[in-house]
Amino acid sequence: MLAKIREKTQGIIATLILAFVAIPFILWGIGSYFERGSSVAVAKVNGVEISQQAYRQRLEELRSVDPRRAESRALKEMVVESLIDQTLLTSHAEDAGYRLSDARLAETIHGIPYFQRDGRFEPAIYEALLRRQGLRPADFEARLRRDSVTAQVQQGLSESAFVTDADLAATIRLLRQERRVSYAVINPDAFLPKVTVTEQEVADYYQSNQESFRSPEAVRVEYVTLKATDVGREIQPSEEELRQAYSADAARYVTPEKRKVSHILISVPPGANEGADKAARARAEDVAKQLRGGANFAALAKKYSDDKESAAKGGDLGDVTPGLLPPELENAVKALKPGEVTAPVRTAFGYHVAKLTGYQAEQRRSYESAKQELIEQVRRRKSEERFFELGERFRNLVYEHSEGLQPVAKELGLTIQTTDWFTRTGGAGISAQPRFAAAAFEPDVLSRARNSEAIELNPETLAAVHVLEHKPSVIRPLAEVRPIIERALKEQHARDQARLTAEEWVKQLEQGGKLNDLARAGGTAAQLARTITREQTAGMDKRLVDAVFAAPRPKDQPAVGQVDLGRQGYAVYALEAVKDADPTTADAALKEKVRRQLAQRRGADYYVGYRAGLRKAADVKINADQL
Amino acid sequence: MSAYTDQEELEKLKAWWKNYGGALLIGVLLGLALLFGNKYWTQYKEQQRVAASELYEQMLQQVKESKTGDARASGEKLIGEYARTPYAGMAALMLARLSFEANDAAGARRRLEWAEAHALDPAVAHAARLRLGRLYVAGGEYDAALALASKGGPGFEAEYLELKGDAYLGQGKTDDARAAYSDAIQQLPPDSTSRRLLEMKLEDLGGGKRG
Repeated sequence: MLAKIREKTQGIIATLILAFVAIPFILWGIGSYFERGSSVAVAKVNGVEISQQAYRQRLEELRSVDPRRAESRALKEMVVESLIDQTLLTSHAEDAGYRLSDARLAETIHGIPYFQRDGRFEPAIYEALLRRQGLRPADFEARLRRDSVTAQVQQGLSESAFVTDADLAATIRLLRQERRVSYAVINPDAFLPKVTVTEQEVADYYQSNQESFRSPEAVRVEYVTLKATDVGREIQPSEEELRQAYSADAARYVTPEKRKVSHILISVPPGANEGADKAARARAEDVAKQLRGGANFAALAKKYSDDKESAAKGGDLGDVTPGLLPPELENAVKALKPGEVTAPVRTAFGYHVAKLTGYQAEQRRSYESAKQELIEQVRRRKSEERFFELGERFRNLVYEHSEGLQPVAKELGLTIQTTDWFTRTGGAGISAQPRFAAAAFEPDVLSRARNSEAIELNPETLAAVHVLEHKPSVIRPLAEVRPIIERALKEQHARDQARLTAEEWVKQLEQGGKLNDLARAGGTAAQLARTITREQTAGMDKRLVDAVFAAPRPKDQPAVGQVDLGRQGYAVYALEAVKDADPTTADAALKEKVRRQLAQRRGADYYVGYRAGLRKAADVKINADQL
Repeated sequence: MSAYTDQEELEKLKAWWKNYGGALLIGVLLGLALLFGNKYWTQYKEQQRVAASELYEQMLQQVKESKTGDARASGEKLIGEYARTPYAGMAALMLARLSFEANDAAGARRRLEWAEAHALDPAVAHAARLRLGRLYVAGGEYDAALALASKGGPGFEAEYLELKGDAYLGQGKTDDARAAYSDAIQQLPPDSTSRRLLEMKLEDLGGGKRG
C-alpha cells in the first residue's frame, strides 16, 4: 500500500498535493506585504487590542474638524484614552449581558434624519453617506449597536437616580446660606511711589530669570515656488496636436445620423407552411399597392398591421438607431428617401412595409467651432505633464545645486523672493505654512550649508528655501531689559508691603481692633457690613466670596482673614454672622431646581464613577511609540 | 504471514470493543450532549437577554411618558422572568425610583435591597447600595448608612465617602464628617460635577483650604 502511494507521488497527484500545501504559505507571505504600516496595537485593554486602524480612523475624523490640533500629542493621547474608555464600557456591557435587539437597531438607524428623505428612511442615501465616510454598513451598525448598548447602561443608571428630602434640605441650607461681612482692600499701587530697587536686586533678578528674557530663534529666507497654474499659461498647442485631440475625441463632436420609421407588419408565425406565407405576402403586396395609389399610411397601419403597439400610433416606430430593426428591414430602410415606402420585406416576424418619415444626417461639430475647447483640453493635459516634468527638474536642481537658488531660478525661469523674519512656529505669508517653516529650520538648511529639499506645499505647489540670515535664540542684555526688571521688582515690593499690612490688620482685628479705624489710618475706606449668599455677592470679588464662605463660623467675635486678590492687592475681611437657609420656607421653584440639579449630578457622577472603576480594575497597556 | 497478522489484529480489536465499546459510546454521546446542550443554553441565554433588553427599553419609554402603571408592570416582569439578565437589576433601580416618587420609601428600600443582593452587574449593586444609604440617612438610621458606606467600591470612593460624611454629620460627629468630606474631594474623578457641592459641605464645617 505504502509502496503504491510512493509510486503515485512521483506523478500528477504529488504535484497537486504540493500545490495545495504551498498555497497557504504563499498567501501568508503576500498578506504581510499588503498590510499597511505597523500592525502593532495602539493599546491593550484587558487583553482586547485597540487597533491602529480604529485609532487612525478616530484621529482622521478629528483631523477634518481641526487639522492643526490633530498633530498634537495631547490630542493623540486623548483619542487613545477615549478609545480605552469606550473599549472598557463596551466589553463590560457585553460581559454583563446587556444587548440590543436587531429590530431596535434598525429602528434607530431609520430614525436618523440624515438617512431620510421627506421623513422616510432611504436605503440609497444611507449607503451613499456611509460610503462617503469610508464606512461599511456592517461596521457602522456594529458601532451604533455598541454605542446604543453603553448608552442604555448609562441611561439606566442615571435616570433611576432620585433625591431624598434630607439631601435636598442639606443642599439648600448651604446653597442659600447668608453671611454678613465687612472688608477693606489694600491696593499695592499706594505703596509703589515709596518702594526702591537696589542695583543688586536688579542683577539678581536678571540672573535668576534669564530664560524669560530669551528672544526666539528666527530666520529670513529666500525662496522659489513652482506652481502648476503658472506652468500651463504659455503652452500653445500646435495645430497638429489639436487635430489629433479632435479625432481622438470624435465621440464628443459627432452626432450619428438618425432615421424615423413607420411600418406595417403582416405577421407570419414561425414554422408556418408555404400557403400561409404566400397569403401574407399577397396581403403585404396589396398594402404596398394601396400605398403607391396614395392611401394614408397611418390609416392602413391601423387597419392591417399585426404590430398592435405601433399600429395604434399609425405604425410609428420613432427614432431608429442602427441595430434596432432586423437587418433585412434596416437595409431596405437605408435605401429610402424621406416619404418613400419599401416593397414588402420578409423578416423573421413576417412581411413589413416600411416608410421613412424623417431623416437627420450625421452631425459633425466643426473643428473650428470646437477649437477653443480643444485648446483648453490639450493645455490642461500638457500642463499637468509639464508640471510633473518640471517638478522633477526642480527637485534635482535644488538638490544638485544646493549652494543657492540661482541655478534653479535661472533654469526654470522662476523669481527668487524673500521672506520677513519668522520663527520655528512660522511667520506671515508663505512662512505661515508649517512645512515651509519646518524646512527652513532643518539643521543643514539653518546653517546655510545647503538649500532645503523641494517642499510640497500642496499637490500643485513646490517650493525650496535658502536661508539668508539666522538669528539664534539669545538672552537679551541687561541694559535692554532693565526697565522691565525694575518695574517687576517694584510691583513685587509693593505687593509685599500690601501683604504685610494685611497681616498686620488681621492681627489687630483678632485683638479687638475695628476694620473701619484700620482702613482710615491706612488711607482707604472699609466696605460696610453687608449680607451675601453664594449667588448674590453684592459685586464682591469671587476670590473674596469664596474665602468668606470657607471661613469658620464666628463664635464670640468676628472671624477674620486675608485674601490675595492678585493685581488688585489684598483684602481683609471680618465675618460677623452666618445664617443657614431654612429649607422649609424655600420656595417650590427653588426646591424643584435644586432637586433636578442634584438628581442630574447624582446620575452623571455615578456614571463617571462607574467608568473610573472600570478603568481602575482594568489592565491597560498603551504603546506610546505607536501613536 | 501478513494475512495471519491481520486476523490477529482484528481479534484484538473485537476484544477491545467488547470491553470498552459501551463506555466509549456513552462517552461520545455524553460529549455530544454537552456540546449541543451548551450551544442550546448559550442561544437561549442570548435570546433572553435580547428580549429583556427590548422590555427594558419599553420600560424606559413608559417612564418617560409617565405611564407609571405600565412601567411598574414591565419592571416586575423583568425581575420575575428575566432575573438572569442584568436588566432585572436595572429594573429594580427604576422601580425604586418610582416607589420613592410615590411616597413609598419602604417600597423603594425593598427594591434597592433586592438589587443590592441580586443584581448581576456590580455597577448596579453599587448604585443600589448608595441610594439605599441616602434613604437611611433621610430616615435618621445613621449606623445602617455607615455600615453600607464602609463597603465601598472602586470608582465610587467619593460617593461612599460623601455618604459617610452625611451620616456622621447626622450623628453630630463634625470632625469625622469633615475628614470624610475632605477624603471624598481627594478621591473625586477628574470630570466629576460634585466638587462644588462637596466643597460647600466641607467649608461649612470650617474645613476649607481656600483663603
